[in-house]
Amino acid sequence: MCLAGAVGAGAELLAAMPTADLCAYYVWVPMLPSDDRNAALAAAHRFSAPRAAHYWDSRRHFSRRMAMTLAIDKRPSGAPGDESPFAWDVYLAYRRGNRDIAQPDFWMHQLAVEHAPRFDSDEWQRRIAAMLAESGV
Amino acid sequence: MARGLMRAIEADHQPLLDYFDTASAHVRILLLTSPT
Repeated sequence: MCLAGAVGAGAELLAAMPTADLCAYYVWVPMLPSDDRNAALAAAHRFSAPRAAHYWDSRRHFSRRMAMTLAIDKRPSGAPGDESPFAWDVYLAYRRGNRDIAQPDFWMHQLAVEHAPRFDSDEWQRRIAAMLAESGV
Repeated sequence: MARGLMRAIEADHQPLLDYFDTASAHVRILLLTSPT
């Protein structure tokens, strides 16, 4: 579901709202055996867009931090051989003025956690549209 | 948002945090996922 999530939560959202004041940060996290910097670069090329930025979390520093702040348990998200919890297949949204990356205004996921809604592309787009409408854009 | 295509995140989470703090878009989305 990884790239499918990037399509649904990122590329399709940007395409559906071509003029919205919206930007996307893709953080590529190595979680599968095939995940390396070259794979991340290929994904960054695939999802390259004027309103998109791409980052490579090679040692999962950021993924670990976000797992703690989002209270993601290690069991559903841990990579084989690594007991640390990681945030991956998670999609977060922030209103203008929210400078705390650890406190998204809304988030969805494709993990086995129950304290946030599971990703649904229609609901994701509806929530982002509502946030944009609140801003008057 | 024209910069290098992909930037590395270090232990202090820079440069992501730098850019996140200065972005002025009405809505920002952050997607963490694996590349394959």
